[in-house]
Amino acid sequence: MAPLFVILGLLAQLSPVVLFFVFFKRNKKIIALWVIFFYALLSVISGFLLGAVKNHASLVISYFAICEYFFFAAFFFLSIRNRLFTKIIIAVSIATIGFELFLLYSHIANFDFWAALITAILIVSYSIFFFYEQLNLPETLFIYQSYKFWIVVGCIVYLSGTLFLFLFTSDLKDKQNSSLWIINDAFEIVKNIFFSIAFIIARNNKLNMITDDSYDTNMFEKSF
Amino acid sequence: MIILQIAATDKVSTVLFFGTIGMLALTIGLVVFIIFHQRKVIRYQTRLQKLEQNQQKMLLNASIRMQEEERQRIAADLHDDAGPLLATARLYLNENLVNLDKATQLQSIYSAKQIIDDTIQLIRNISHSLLPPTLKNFGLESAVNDLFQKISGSGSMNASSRFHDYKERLQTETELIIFRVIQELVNNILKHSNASFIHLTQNTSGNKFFIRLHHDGRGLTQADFEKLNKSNVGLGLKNIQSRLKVLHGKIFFEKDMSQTYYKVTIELIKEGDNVLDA
Repeated sequence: MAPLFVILGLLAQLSPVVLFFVFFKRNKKIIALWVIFFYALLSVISGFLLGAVKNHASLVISYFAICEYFFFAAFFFLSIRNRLFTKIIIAVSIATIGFELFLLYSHIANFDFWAALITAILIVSYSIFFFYEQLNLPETLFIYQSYKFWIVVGCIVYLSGTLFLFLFTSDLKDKQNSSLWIINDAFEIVKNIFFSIAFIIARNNKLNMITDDSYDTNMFEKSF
Repeated sequence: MIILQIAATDKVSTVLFFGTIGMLALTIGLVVFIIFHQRKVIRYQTRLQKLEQNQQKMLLNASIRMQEEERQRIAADLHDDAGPLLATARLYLNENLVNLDKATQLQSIYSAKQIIDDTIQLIRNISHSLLPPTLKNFGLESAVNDLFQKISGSGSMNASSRFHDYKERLQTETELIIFRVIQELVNNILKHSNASFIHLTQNTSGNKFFIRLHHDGRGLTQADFEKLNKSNVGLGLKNIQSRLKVLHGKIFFEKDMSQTYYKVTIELIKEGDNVLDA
């Protein structure tokens, strides 16, 4: 079971990267997709690094956690239209990353616990605001036809699924060997599947727009 | 110690398991709620759009029918009245006139001149009914006063108008639209209401421009107006609505509190010195 998960996990990690290159011509102008591409690339690199530098595995995981928050926050910064909220994201992100780096180097508290909790709370909050904004937009496109929806769903499913794992796993060194780590692998796979769907959907975004054959509403604004 | 450790691990696993399931359930619930709520909103918006499109279609059809009827009327006036008159005048002015004696020639010329004068008057009347020169040259107040004077002059009913706040003229196009609306309302009152008086008042209140029409005949209430507007009849009323839509105006039909007369109120928004126009 474990080797199967490893293979599936690797394939799932690589799929967003591969799909980004497959649909590169159509997607290259979408900056938000570049952010997710770099995040996926970093995930793949971290995966290889974990295998290569077993002594510093906890440091790799900690830095990856900080980068993960950074990439997710960057995606929401690019996706949310409300300017005030984007400024809040910037301010909160600076504070969060600063706090996490402080925790990492000062060792005064369990880094995993606080990083996971803060990341989950913040990203879920950004997601809720994003959905609220999308619902209030006067568009006829169904929300699941937008690539942003799939990325956000991927983020919140992954974070909510792994939150309790990180909260209750106090020893990072044992994490890789722990049987509980399979939860993280499973949700990583789910997250990458959603990200892959987002890369495919973004390609077809224009085709999925619902066109509206309405009368010219300026008709009555011309003089008789 | 080992037992305690195992018990602690089991407790952590249980909390982890239920915590993860709980968080997943919340997340999936949120996503499903978002999807279904948005679908409901889009379906509702689509239905509203369809209703608006149907209404616009009806107004457009009414407008086109009205234009066609007016064209037919003008064509009939020209064909049935102006055409025969000019043909008759032509009969008097034929080449044989030079062979007749002077008295007969003079008589023929005079008759032809009379007929041409009648034709000119006829064409002038057609032109005035299309666009009253009083409206263009002197404004809405003068044109409405003129119209009401003609109605009063016919003896069929007492028609009067009073403009309280009309120091500056509105744009020509706006005045024409308002005049047409008043004309249509007055025609309806003359045709259907059996009223003995019509009184029009104009005033402004803040940034709103009001025209009120009172009459003592059989009138419409707002409910009747909306019902007729949604049906295939009531061409004139649909035309009124289309015209007011151009000016972003509203119209209210009501029976006065004293139950003795009907009132039609036209409300337009003023921006600066002019009624809001597209």
